[in-house]
Amino acid sequence: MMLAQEILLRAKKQVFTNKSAGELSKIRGEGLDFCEIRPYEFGDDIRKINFSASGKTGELQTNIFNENKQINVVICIMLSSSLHFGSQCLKSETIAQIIALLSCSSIKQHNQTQLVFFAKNKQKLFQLNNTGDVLRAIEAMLSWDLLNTKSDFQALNQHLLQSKKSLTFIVGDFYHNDDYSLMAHKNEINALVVRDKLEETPNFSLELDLVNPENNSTIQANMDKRLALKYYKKLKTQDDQLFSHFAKHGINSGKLYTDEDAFSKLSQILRQ
Amino acid sequence: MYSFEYPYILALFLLALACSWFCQEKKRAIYFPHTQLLSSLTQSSHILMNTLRVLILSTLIIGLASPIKTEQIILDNTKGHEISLILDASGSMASFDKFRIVKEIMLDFISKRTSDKLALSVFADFAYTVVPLTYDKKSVIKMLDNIEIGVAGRRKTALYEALFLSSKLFNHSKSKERVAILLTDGKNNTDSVPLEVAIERAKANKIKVYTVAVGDPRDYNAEVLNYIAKSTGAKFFAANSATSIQNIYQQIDQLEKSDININQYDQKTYYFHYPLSVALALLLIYFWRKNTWILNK
Repeated sequence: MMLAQEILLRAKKQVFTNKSAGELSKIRGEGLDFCEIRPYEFGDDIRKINFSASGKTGELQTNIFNENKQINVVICIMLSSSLHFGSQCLKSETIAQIIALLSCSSIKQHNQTQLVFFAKNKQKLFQLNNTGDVLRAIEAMLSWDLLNTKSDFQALNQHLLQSKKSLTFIVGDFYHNDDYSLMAHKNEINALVVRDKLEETPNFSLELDLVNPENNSTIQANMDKRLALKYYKKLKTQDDQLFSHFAKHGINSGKLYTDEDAFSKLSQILRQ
Repeated sequence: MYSFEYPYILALFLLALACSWFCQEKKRAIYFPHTQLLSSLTQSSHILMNTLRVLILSTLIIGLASPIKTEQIILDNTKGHEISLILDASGSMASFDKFRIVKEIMLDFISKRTSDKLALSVFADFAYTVVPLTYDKKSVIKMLDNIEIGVAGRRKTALYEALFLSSKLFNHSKSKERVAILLTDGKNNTDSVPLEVAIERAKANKIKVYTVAVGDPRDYNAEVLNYIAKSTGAKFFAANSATSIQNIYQQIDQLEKSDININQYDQKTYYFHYPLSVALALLLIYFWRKNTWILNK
């Protein structure tokens, strides 16, 4: 198992040596980055009225800019007992790496960064201002007792609807078909699905007792290739529904496996 | 008759039942996310494997208990009795439902004679042999069941002819115990065979003729019937109720008990290979389903 320090050092190395262009938010708001001209609507700032365009069209037109001031970044971790699984490394460790990478990247760009762990009846919030805060957050993630933990979608929804408009990263294994449309309407959302290849194609070639970590119930299964294939097909159908829901509501999403390099995979997903 | 050679082996079912609860196989256990989805997929397979296990165990235990079919084989037929049943089927037997009652009692009597040869004759206007001496009790029962009043006419009673005809059935008999049971409710009123000729024939063939008179004593000739019985070394019975007819046949049954114990043995046909073959076939299916290396190819 990787230590919190090791995860942080790797993330810092990857983030701070990467020469990427300054990220611009797609959130519309106060800024200098011109986005578009559109007809004036009630409530628009009259200082943004484009008189030249208004003169040409005969009706009031207003300039719209992308927000390029310090943005709010919220990293939401959907904790559940199913994260206590992994063949190469635990899914919870991969999530710790994702926290480290996103936090370091956000701190580097001087954004307001917030990390929230969501679990049933338990929420933990971290304001990440420096790498010391990131280290504590990683330690909290790694030391979280995931067994018997249930995810709490309602709490996540409520938090994102009540807080300021933000660039949001939701990290989890997304086994439940929840509705993300409301939060996506207000925030710019990135959904990072963390999975292990063995849990998607569980070909153990053994007869096993499979324990549900959520409630310790057990099922017996002969985990052969045929069953693994059937399971994969059914899971894929569920995942397809999930990703089409994300696409429908403009949520940028991607799947990240535990055996993949978190940094490159994250870059690939967030570049979409 | 079907039975088990070792029925106490069937107690293993209880042991298996207890074992299925207390001695469950300990498998390797792992935490696995999203078992809800997996359990929906494994449910049918789980039911199939459990059914296969139960069937294999059941067929194995049944095979071990050795199912057999037991049949009695009689080696020396001469030790059994040869019995000719002579039944009056004239029209008078219809009164008071006598014919039906007598038929039922005779059917019961036939079923008790396990190792005897039986013959069946009926008479009225004339006499005829329905079934000659045979071990095939089922045929005798079936024929007797189908006989109705009037099959040999209705008006007359050819009693002596019936005795004569029935005695001829024993011409080639090898048995030492030869018995005829003659049942009537009337008097002989044909002249086809004289009484003395009929009795002589019966005596010549060493047949004991039990005579049974049913109904009103005025209708039958008790003296003649008694004479026939006495002459052949048997007994005469008279009855005017269903119970008394039943008793007469029981008495005859007791008087003419066959000594068959030393002449018979039980032939056992073993059927254990059938449940064992089924168990083997099911076992192959079970291992084919379970053996992941085949499925993982």
